[in-house]
Amino acid sequence: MKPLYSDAIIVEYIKAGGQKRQKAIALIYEDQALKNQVIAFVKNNSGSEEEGIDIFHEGIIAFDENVRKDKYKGEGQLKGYLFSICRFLWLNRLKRDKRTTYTAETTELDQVSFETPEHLSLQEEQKQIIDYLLSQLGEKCQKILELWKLSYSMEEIATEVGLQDAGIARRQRYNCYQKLLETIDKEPDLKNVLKLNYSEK
Amino acid sequence: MKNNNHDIELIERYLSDELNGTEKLILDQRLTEDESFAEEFQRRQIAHTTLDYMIAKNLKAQLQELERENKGKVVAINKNRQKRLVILSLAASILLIVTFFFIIPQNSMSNAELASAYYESPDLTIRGSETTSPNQELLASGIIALENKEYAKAIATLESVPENNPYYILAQYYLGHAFFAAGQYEQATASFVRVRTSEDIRYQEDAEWYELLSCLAQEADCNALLNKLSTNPNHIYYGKALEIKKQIK
Repeated sequence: MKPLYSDAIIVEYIKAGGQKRQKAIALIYEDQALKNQVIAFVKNNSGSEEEGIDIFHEGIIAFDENVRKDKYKGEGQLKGYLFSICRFLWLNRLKRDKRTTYTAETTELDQVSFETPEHLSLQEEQKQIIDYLLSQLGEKCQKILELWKLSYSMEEIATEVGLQDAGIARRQRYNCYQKLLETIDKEPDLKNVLKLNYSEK
Repeated sequence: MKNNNHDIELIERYLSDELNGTEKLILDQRLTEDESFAEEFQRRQIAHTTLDYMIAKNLKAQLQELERENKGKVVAINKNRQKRLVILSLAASILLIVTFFFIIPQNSMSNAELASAYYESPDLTIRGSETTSPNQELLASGIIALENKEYAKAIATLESVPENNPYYILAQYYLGHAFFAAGQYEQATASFVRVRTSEDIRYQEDAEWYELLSCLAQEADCNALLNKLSTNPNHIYYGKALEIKKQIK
């Protein structure tokens, strides 16, 4: 049978980034039992199967970010943590859409609270603005900045993007980032719409 | 006040979650006292949120792609088959334990015997809907033949899955197992190499491990591959590779 993967390995793989992060995400995604639990929770609380799958995906995205940003401290089981995230995201969506409010009951999987990544709370208008910012960058710059943000080394970025060496990757990363900042500067109104909250981490 | 490189570094390190407690206090203070610093912070925070959003969006697209791939790919195995697999697993485990206690300590195993002792059948569960698409049919028939120990049929069926079929890599993975079970280790190696070198990371490490076992089964020189696995603590078969390394002649 296929081997079991411990919580520690999954967290370690996500933090390591690159192919390992991809593998960890694929492993979480393949946890059919957890996925079914999330879907069942959503369906039992005014949602559909599709919404359940969507929340499971959003939960994985939030979990990935929290692990990468060291906000997941290994408290409780990973499965419980991820279920809590999905539950929280679904209750928030119900609230946002002004649908039936669920009176929360704590389940054994419902272990911890978590911090919602800022981008998961963005409004549609804000998402459109960000899509515009990204479109100004071009695909190559997007890829370079994504890999950089995912903690790839400059050598890895060079390999992934097909650049000659790490030095060129470093310069391209700098140029792409400057381009993003300049695009933000060129549209002063963007800052008002995208005004993000600073909260002490 | 103009922001210098030190300020920019402080902001960037904050946005990359690299600041310690004291540094965060300094940043808090600068944000309340220095307008130009706060402005620089804001534009860089927008940039980072943009990148976080892009990462999340790309990941969501990947998850949706996995969802589409898996939809229906996987057919639920019936309960009897599951029971049979449990019994087989138990028997295999007992055999493995016996092997460990009685054979390994005597250090008398050949490489081929080691390969056989460490070989485990793949997960033959095909999850998902009961119906299969034409693309999945070949894969599903091949897996069923493999499960029924009809290796020639399994090989012929899995070999016929074309490269442009979305289940090609999975078919190659099971083909490797079918060859292995049929004692055709060279062909098994070739199939596992195709999986290992594919872009589907879900099966790469498993394929690498079975490539090693296929190599050992041929009594070939497998040192390079064995060293690769046994010196990489992050590899999921690191522990087993180390065990084999200790026992290898």
